[in-house]
Amino acid sequence: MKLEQAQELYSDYMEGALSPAMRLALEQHFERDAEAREDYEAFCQLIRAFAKIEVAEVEAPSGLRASVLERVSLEASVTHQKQSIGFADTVRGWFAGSALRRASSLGLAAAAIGAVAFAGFHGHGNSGPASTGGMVPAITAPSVTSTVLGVGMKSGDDGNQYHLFKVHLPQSISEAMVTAQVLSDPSQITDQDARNQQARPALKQPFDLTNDEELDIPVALLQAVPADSTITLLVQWQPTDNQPAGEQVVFTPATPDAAGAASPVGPDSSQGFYDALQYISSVYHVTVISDTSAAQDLTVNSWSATINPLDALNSVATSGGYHVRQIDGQTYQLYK
Amino acid sequence: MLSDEAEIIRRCKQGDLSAFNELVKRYEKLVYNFAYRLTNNYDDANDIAQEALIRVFSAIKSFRGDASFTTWIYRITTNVFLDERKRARAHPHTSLDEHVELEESSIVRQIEDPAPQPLAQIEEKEVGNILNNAVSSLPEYQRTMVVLYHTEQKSYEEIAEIMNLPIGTVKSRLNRARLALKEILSPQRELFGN
Repeated sequence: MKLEQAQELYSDYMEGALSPAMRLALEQHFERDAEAREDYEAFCQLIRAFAKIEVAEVEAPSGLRASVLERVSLEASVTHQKQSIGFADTVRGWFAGSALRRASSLGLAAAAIGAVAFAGFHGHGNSGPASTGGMVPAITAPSVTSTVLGVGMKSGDDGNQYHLFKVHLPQSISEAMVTAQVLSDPSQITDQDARNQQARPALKQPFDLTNDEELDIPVALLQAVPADSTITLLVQWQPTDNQPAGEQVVFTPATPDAAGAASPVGPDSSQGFYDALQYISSVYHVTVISDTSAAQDLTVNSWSATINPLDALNSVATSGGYHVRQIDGQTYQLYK
Repeated sequence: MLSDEAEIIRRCKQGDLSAFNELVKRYEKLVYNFAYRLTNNYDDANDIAQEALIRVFSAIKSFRGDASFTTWIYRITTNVFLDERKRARAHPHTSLDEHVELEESSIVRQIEDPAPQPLAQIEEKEVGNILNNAVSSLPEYQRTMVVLYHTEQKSYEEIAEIMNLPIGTVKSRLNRARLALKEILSPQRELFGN
């Protein structure tokens, strides 16, 4: 047996994995050739040395996780930014009358990608987002004096749906720090603990917004969702000049161009106030904007399940002392 | 705190960054240690661990659960290491942290710990350093085999999954890697005792 042939068998021999015949042949080779035996002994010594050495564990560098998460967020942001180019121009006219200077938040909202929770109440046998085949005209044209929120929509070339939440400050506030969160359940509007634990930030950090600026927050859907799903965004602003803080919530259909329920029906039992608003947004496929002053335990005992979403919203609004107005064909606002 | 790993992975697949944060928290030490044992260099280990974890996020949708998640992470880290070495060979550069090439072997720049230590500990540490440096001088594939088997304590089956090789190939390549190590270390054989 040549040295190279014998060496090919060392590991198997050491582990007792050789056939009896091969083992015998190798042992006879070692008996005949002391140098070969010595070579095998050196091999075994090495393996034993590995077993003796204590492998020290080292701690991962303190900044490793932060660097990884930053890069992951950045890459998601870059992807999203590319897909959003061009869309901003199509919605520029929304606030043209107030001559607002745009302050796009593209890149800031990357954390919201994939963080959207979908809240469809009923299945209508219509699943998956309907493709719009391109830009969708602005859904809402909110009055700058009554609501701080507007919602736009685009369908990217990749088939994903993109929602663009447009935020500006009330006229009376000159500057404020704005935060925004995508909620997975309406209860998070009034339950701060639940919000802290389950809501997803739509902005990486508070955004310093001035009254002449408009903040665009893109939120991407990364998966097909039922046609009656909604996205719920809560926007809060903290003025820098000691004026009272404020917040507003918007429920908007995840797939607004899909058909709503043919025959909407009301809830079977009493529902929370915001649950009812989300439900109406879901089944009528309308955008519902509201302030957040309703009490946590406010429930809606009855509401009109008519074909008209305004009637349905009015019947809910009375439970909380709210008024309803229609901003445009698809958008309604509840206010006090 | 998320407790169920399958749930964390499911959420990561949906692009949930908070779930990914939890996943990185669980695996960063494992990935970094493995990368360090492959590279024998802290900075390189940091680069490889970072790249591997980013690749985990990018590829997690393709994780089907056929292998264990740990095995899958080892596979990704191994691939990042091998890709990086391939790239480094194509675009060579020098660094103060890199190995200083000698005629017959290579050593790594080290800073000595000045604290007094018992002789046995010094010897064991020295043997460990010599072994590590010898492993570092092996070709990348052999090095990976040796680290996975002798340091990470992986079985042949696990190494076969990590490196996407038949078990027979793993065994024969590991045997060759050990033989290569034996040759490299033959001048210092007396240090290894019996």
